[in-house]
Amino acid sequence: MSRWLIRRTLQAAVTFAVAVLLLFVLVRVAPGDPLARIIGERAVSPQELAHLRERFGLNQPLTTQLRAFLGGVARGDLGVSIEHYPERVTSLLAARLPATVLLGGTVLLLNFSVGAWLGVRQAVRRGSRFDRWLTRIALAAYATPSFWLGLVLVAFVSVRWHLLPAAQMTDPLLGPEAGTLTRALDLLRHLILPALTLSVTSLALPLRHQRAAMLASFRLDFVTAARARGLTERRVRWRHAWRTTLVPMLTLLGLWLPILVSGSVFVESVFNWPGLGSLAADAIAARDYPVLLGTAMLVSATVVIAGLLADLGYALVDPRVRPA
Amino acid sequence: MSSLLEVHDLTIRFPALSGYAVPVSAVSLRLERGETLALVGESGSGKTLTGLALLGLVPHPGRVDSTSRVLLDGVDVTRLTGDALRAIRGGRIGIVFQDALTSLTPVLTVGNQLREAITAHRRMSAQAARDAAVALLGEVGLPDPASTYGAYPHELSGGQRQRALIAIALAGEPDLLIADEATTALDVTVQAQVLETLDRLRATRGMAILLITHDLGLVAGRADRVAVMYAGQIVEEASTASLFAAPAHPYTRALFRAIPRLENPVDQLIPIQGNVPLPEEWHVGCRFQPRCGEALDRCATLDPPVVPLAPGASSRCWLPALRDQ
Amino acid sequence: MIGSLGELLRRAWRHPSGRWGGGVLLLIGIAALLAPPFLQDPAAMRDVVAGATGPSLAHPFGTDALNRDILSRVANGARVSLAVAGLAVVLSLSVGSAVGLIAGYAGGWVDAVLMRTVDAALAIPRLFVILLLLVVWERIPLVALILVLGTTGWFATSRLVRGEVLRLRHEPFVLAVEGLGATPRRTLVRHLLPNAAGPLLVAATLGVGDVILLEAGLSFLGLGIQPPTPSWGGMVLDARPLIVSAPWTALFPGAAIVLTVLSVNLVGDALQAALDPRSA
Repeated sequence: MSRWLIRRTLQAAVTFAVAVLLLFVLVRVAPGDPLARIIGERAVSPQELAHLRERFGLNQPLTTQLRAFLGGVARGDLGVSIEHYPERVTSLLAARLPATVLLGGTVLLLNFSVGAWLGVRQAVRRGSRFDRWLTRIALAAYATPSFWLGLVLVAFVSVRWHLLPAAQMTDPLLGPEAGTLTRALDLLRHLILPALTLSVTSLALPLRHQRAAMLASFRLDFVTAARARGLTERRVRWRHAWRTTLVPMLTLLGLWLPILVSGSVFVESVFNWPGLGSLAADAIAARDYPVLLGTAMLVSATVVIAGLLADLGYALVDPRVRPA
Repeated sequence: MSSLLEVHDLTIRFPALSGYAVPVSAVSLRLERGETLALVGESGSGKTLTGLALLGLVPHPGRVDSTSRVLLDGVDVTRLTGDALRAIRGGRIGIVFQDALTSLTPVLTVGNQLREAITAHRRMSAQAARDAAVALLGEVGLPDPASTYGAYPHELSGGQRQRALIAIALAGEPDLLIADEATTALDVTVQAQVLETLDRLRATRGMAILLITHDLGLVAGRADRVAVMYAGQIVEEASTASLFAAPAHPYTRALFRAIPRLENPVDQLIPIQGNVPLPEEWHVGCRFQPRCGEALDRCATLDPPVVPLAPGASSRCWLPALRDQ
Repeated sequence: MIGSLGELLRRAWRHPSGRWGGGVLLLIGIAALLAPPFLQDPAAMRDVVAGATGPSLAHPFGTDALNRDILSRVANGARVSLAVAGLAVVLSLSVGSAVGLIAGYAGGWVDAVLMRTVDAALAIPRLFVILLLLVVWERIPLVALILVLGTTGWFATSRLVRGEVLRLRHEPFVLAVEGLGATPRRTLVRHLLPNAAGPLLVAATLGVGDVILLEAGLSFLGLGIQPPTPSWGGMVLDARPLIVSAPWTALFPGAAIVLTVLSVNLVGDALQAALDPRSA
């Protein structure tokens, strides 16, 4: 088991390394000068320009740049932000990571619990009005741009009806004397709208996956065999049929992260949620290349790790998959 | 005293492209306590569906006709739902399927599934259930019940899995055990052992067994009575001895001609010409008529009657009816 | 191949979702095509000072902050969005098919290298790749946008096509064609590729929906279709400060996106169901 784990981890590392390489190529291949915007924004003297070029290593030959880049990545040094010069990219990422983890984690939990439960219900009530209408609603929600939904929710729920806060993660007016419970509730109130926006617009995927997996599971012989033993329908449904759908659902979990991350760029930007997504959005506006690159790398690493964890999950969930 | 099981006019209907397909039509059976009845037929004859109907497990979109009756000690199973039906499943009637690998949930251990089946019908503590499970595994002839208890289905050999499946079928202490091609997927030697185990269990528990099989060879020496099924209908019914001595229906006779016999070795086995017709192809008249070597003119257009030949023996054929005239 | 595609479309049409989606899409397409001659030219700004006005007979969707008719902007936006998405998807399919065919047919280290690269590329969320590529420009040329969208969406298609090739690689009909002296290219294009036509069509349809959403998002971030060309995402961006006082400025473009992507996805679903009835 541990040998398989080591091999799989190595594979993941290679995939990540190739991804990093691709990102480097991407950045250098893209036409245009990363510093062009700064030159446009402020009056920069030739010396400053030369200094900046050197600082960002842009005047070196490509291979030297690559080596420096890879060396930096290996050391955990992702360079310096252009916009927030001289703040390090890694510290910026680290500061924003928790907020995204909170938002992303909440959405993941929501979608894979509510989505799974609804999907099972749809499969059991296949062809019913519930089944058909839920599919239609989920498809319509999937077709909804998250940034638009976010804006609409803010406009009505926050501004017009004053039900929930419109932006950010916490109430800036909350004084230091506020207790943990107040802080937690405040956080929750701020979390609801962005989490709802992200969750609703991506629910169709786990919903459909679970429904399909459940229908496939119901056709399997051992489900009939379980019924033949006199087990209650609930037991057959969850303990026998649903457990067999965990593997395809885990696969989805591994693939779902990129979607979640992309969505969070828009949602965090609309709600001013201080996470990686809004960091990326700001970096876009400021043409802050190192930050964008750093974020892309961090996100890729997360995707690769998620895939690795999904594989581990398979082994945990399905005894047939476990390497001897 | 009524029979343990009485099946009257069991008809199962499936919606098809043009109307309905009726894979099981007007099947009637009778089974006494402690008796073994063999239901013999080729694949496609409807014997598995018949077995499933006894448990109310006919797969969607199939339906049992409202005129059918399946009486277990006088109670009509086809009218039962919910808890009453679940009590029957496993509690009064158990079933062992052909492929243990696909009939056992792959993500749960054998012991887990067995214990679950036990507690579904008998109230006992978790520990007591575990002990009962291990004991049951031993009773079905597994050499190391404790280790089988903790094993996953794919970790066992074919024979071990089948025995485990039998144990699960017995968990609710049923009065009737349906063995649906239970040994078909096994090696010949293992097959014999498992059948012997079934026999032993039948004796110790006083169970009736419905032995569903395509193999006439299995039937001899193991079944008290035989019902032969073809194209959804029972074509002959008799005690095993008289069936083997003098098969009445042309299909049964053809079946015997097609299997090798040790006492009368022949140079050539005579297979039955043609193929088993699909439910959509069935029409009026005798369904075996296209392949029957003894067919009369009327066999193609008139449904043959079920002719009683002796107490407990009958044949669905025109030949004995005509002979009597 | 045409025959089986026709059959596929006919079967998809039998599904209610296929009819709805196809119908709505057709309407949107017609509206997009008819926009310029019949609806006002969005660039002809009238009374700018009047600002955003609500829906009225003259302006069924209202006007935006610069008093431009929203209905005509939405219709024109349809043209741009559909054109961009269509072209990008065609590009993705072409590149993806090519890579998939080569990888599946050649096998060996070529396949290994290509697929490993695809794996790595799939680890980077598509949006980030697009962002990194587009951020350099001050004003993004439309061609660049289409190229970027197209070249970032071929990875899954390549896996799909590769799968089909691997499945059919050793089928008798392939061996027969090769035995008759067909070049690899001919075998791939005329014999193996058509078998993937069905799944490719489904992937294409769903891909169009994804690209429309992506392009709208990019336009919202300022990186997509550049003003004054109307784009739905750009209209939502412009509507952001007005969302409370003049909600129609954001509502209609957003609804247009939802309707278009939904109908495209419905068509894709119907095609999928026609291909594999059991998944319905």
